[in-house]
Amino acid sequence: MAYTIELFMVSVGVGLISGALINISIGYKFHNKGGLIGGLIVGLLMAIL
Amino acid sequence: MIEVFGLNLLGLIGLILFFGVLIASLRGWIPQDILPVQSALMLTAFILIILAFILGKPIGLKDIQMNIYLHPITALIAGFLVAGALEAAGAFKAAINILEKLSKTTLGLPGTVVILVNIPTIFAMPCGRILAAALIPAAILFGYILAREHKQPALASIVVFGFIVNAAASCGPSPLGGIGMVGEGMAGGLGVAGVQLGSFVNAQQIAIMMITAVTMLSMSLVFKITPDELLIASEEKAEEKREKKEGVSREGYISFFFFFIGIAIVFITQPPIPIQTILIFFVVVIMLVAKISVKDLIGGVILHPIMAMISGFIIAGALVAIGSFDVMIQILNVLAQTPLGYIGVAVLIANIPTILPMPCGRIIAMALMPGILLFGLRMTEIGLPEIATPILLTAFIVNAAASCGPSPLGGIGGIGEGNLGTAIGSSGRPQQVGIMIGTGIAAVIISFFGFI
Repeated sequence: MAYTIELFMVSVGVGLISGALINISIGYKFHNKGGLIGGLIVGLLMAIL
Repeated sequence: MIEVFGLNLLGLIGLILFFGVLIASLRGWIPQDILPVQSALMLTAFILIILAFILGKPIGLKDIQMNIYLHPITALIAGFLVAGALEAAGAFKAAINILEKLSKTTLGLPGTVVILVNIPTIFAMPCGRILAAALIPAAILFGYILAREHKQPALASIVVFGFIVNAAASCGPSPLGGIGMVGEGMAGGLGVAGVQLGSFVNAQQIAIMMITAVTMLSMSLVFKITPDELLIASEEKAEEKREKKEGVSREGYISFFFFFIGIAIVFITQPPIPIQTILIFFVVVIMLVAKISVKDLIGGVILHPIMAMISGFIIAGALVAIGSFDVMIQILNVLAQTPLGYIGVAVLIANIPTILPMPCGRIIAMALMPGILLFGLRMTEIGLPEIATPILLTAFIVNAAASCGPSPLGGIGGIGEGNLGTAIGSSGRPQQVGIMIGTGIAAVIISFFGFI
């Protein structure tokens, strides 16, 4: 599928949400920088790959 | 043709036998060590052929063969060969090493855990068991470190089962013979607007991110699973010792980055070459780089999902031939006249795989895919938008792919339960919660954004 702005927005957005949820799950604040950056990277990788 | 309540009797018997075998296997009425569900379904197909003959509507091998799609089977085998090559070259060990280095950067432990639990879907192997088995030591290691840091043993389970459910679902969007390819192929073949190979991939991957996060959150808030601490501590020590002793070879890193960059190029450029050819090229390069043998490659082939897929195709072929899917559509149409409506019925059938979780999602996916597709087309006939069919298919595929995670019949969840020393089936509920939410999210993504 083609790379579109929607794809990157949705993937990165969901990545950030999932990063925040995982942060909470493993005992950190939802806005922990590491988890959010991790979610961002995962979202980007999912969109690119 | 004999009919009961206006339904073709043979088709109805086929449906009852099919679901009967699934439920009996799940409940343990059919002992899985004597007759695994795949063999039971093959036997059911055989019984249906005999019944069809007795009832004067004989079906031949040709009818069943017509439903066996070779493309995903050959892609699956090629995918296993790549996985075998990567494992033998030490690429998965290189991945664990890279993760350990990542945890010392700004990402820290939480960022590394977010990446680790999502790795199976980023690399989307044809069977989640490949990465589940290869990377579970990393999940245990990071889970244990977290548990020790926060003095909460249950955190180890949260990391492990987040990783496990992600691995289970990852065979859905896999371009290496994933379940999604079958749905895309069938829908494209029937001319469902705009569907081609790869159409459902992104929606599935995004949904799986949420399946993973929601599973972990539900374990943190509701379903607390405390692992056997002694077992984890000993495994963590063994892993540390093994890594110090073995190290990671240069070939492992080269193979890892070759695969990572290679698969990215394939996704980005989408060359007009069959995926099987590309995968065999990957295998040859990794073999040359890491000097691995054919025996190593064969070691990567897992028969379980191949057999699951074939048994699914065969039972589906028998069900198509005796008209079971027509009966299923008739029954679903009647159900749709109740307050459930067509949407309610669609929600129900999209979640069937996780309600009846089989040890491999391919069993129920291949067996029911023609029926799901027909119901989707029926939904468009009654006036729902044309996108309804791909929405239903994508949701069903995500659900089916992930369903081997919570299966108590030797699903991927068992790998985590065994390693953590928890009771068999204990991780089922939180995974089911995550999968249910992810199924809805896959549907919403296709509905709002189409095939992004």
